[in-house]
Amino acid sequence: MTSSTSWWSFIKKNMGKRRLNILLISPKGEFLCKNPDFADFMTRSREMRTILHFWNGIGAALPTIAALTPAEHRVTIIDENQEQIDFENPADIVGITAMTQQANRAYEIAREFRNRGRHVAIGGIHASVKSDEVEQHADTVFIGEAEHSWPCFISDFLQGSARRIYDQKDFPEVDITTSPLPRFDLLAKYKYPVVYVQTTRGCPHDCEFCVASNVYGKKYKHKDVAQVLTEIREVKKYWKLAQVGFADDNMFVNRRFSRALVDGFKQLNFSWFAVCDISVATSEKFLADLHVSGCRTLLIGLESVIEQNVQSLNKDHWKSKRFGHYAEYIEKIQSHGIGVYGSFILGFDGDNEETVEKTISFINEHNLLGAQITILTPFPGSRLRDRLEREDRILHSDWKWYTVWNAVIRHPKFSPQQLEANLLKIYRAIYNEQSNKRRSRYFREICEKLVS
Amino acid sequence: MEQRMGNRLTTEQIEQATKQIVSRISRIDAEEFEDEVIIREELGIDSLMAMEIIATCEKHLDIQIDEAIFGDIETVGDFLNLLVELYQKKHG
Repeated sequence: MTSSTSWWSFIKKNMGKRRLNILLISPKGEFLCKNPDFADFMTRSREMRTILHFWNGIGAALPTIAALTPAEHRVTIIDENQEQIDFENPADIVGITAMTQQANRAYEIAREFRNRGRHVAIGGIHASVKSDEVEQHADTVFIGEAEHSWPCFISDFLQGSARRIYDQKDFPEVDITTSPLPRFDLLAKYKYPVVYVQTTRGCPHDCEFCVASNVYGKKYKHKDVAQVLTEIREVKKYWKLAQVGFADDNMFVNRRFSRALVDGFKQLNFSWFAVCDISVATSEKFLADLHVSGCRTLLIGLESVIEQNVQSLNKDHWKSKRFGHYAEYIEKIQSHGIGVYGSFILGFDGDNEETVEKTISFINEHNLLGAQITILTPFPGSRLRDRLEREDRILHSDWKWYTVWNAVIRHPKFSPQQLEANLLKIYRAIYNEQSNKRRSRYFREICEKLVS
Repeated sequence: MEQRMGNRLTTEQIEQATKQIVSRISRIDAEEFEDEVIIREELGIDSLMAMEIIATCEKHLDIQIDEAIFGDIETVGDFLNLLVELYQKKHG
């Protein structure tokens, strides 16, 4: 088979006539910090509640898998954050997607269904990087993207020959411009504040802590503009109040595509946010277009306020080359009425007490709309995990601790308790009445200029 | 600005104008703005969008809104009531 088209023809020809009942599940995850002081702060702080509220969506994987399933089969999606699972569901296939934070729960769910004789398939990021572990809990494991492997699995299942492993590397390269319209209709039963749409896959920066490059490769690919606009129209058909969140790891890497996409967004009337890198600030025209098109917030991986930490992140030093421009770029972005949520990591080897103070000062002095600070976490599949394993510095490999707010590593200067306490210290210093007031005044001045 | 034209706005006009501003900034159809709709959680109005709404309403209605008071507002109905009150206080 040499192309996606011929692959699809092969699959369609081999599909049986039996109508399958397929249940797709997104499990509850370990997203909350297990440190009681931090957990208490999260429930009390309005800003933290807002962050959790907007995380309360579902990724693009399951509606895409549902759309890849031939139309004659019956597909149901269950988001366990929204609805309890009925383990008596007489499904022929139970498909579970899981990030590492969801892995333990995915295994519990798999066990319940397998005990009842159901065929359980597990895919997603965790299965892609820990297939040996996942294989112990599932009948079938998916590694990597599933555009080709899922329809192949359905065909094999109908013929009684479902394999243990479906690995994307055994199939033609995925061209996401041919990905079908995700079945958002199957999620319309849930009242999401944010619905996620994917426009690109991959990230060229290959940061040491990140798993994306390992799953999608360093090649960056994108959907067609028309394809994305159709997806957004579909989302707004079912969720009139929801914001659109773009699920991409780094959205504006291909600037020519991004410009065309944002021009397309201007035809629609919706509010959105995305994750991108700091280079978005290099074009005033692009920033102005982003605001006009409905972009209100950008989550940007700044990673650290300590230059030494940023230097070793990327092999090509992409981030360290821009480190000196962080303040200037943040100001530029926010002056266009787009809030920057800075993403920072605490626990790099160069971090010490001074880092904590510098992080607080940076976030407050530059009036970031918000910040997401997490503890350095060696997720499976990352180069960071390989290194820390070699250095014997990983304290836990029970995924329940991989919340990104709990310390699971041995740090040269901080104990795990100190890391968690310092994380809380930063959050308390940036999300309090005084700093909220200062931030409000800053953005009010920007908005007054924009409306005058 | 209506005030400059010497026309005092009615409660209904203030509410209508406010809904249009919130709709334009949040990009949500004004028909969705029932009084009991929660501004932050249901409309997804974050602190930045709130500042844009405040700045625009101030300019359009020629009033001053204390952002601290806005922080205590929960629903669309509460916000409309606040603006009507501020408008009437300033313009009689």
